[in-house]
Amino acid sequence: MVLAKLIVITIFLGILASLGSAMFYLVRDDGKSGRTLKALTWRIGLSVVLFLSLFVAYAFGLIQPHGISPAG
Amino acid sequence: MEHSSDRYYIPHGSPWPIVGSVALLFLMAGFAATLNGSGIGKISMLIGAGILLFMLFGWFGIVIKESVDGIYNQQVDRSFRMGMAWFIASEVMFFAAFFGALFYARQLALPWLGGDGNNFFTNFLLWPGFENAWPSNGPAEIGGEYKAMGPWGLPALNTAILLSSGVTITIAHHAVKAGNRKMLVAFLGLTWILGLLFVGLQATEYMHAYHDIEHGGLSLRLSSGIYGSTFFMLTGFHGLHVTLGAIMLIVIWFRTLKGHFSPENHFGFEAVAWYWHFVDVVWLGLFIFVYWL
Repeated sequence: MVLAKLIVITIFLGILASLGSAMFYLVRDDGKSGRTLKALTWRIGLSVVLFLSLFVAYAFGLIQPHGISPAG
Repeated sequence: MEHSSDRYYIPHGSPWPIVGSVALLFLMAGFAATLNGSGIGKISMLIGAGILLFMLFGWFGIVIKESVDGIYNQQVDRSFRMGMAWFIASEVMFFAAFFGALFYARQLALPWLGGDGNNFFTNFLLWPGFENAWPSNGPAEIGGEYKAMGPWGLPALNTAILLSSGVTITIAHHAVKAGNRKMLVAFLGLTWILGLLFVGLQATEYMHAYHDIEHGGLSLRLSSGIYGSTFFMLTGFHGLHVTLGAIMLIVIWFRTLKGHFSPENHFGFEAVAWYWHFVDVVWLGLFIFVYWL
């Protein structure tokens, strides 16, 4: 359980880092640079991985949403 | 007026600042009048909002025209980029405050009320029998009975929709760099459609939350203690940002239809694309910390 949560948070930190570096390149570079786009591509790639890994972790019983059953 | 690329362009005699000031005057005076129960307040606020919209269209329109006309030099470009950085800094602080409130309530305040650490007597004297758990509307059970919003169904679907829009904006971004206008128009269009779909589904989710438990809803409202208020403040302000981002995407989309943006010169596009990635990441944070962990 704890390990799964740690992995989720680590990937999320990676997403924050790629988004942050994209902002840095957006301010620093001019329009010809491709560094912003590269960082943003990493950002979306990691996000998709995180989303899918949540479902995989749930399927293997490694993570539970708030420890309660689905609402409604 | 003469413009050369080595001079920092400053517009002369622009009417827009004073128009904006008048709009704010009507808005604030109307708001104050409404708070005092005056019927004229709402009319004044509507007039103010109308003038503000007129200003936004006019002012942004002029800036776009100046940019397309090539009046801006490198230094003006840097000013726009710095402006974006400061705007985002304020946005990060804004969401950090609400995520911070959620963290404080869950990790500190509720455990203390439950008698954690050296707070045994807090629990014993003030709220005997209260056990720390999340979701919670606190020991006083403010707002009464409610059900928590689970991650399955609409929230998961909405996450998939927003992530897909993140993929489409990235494809559009690659297209603008490659000078592929057809692909740019198609994928940028797809992005704002997905964005509006997200907002629509979020509204449906809110209605479900607000309905009484007896009527198949969750009885989950802004007034449902700390869980309800953090849930609606975070997701509500996020929804507002998605709406704003979608409007920005639509403006940029119309600009691409008009042939604006080249592979070398597309800061307007890139700033809006980054903003869209930002609201996407905020949602991902919400999905993880509000719905899952």
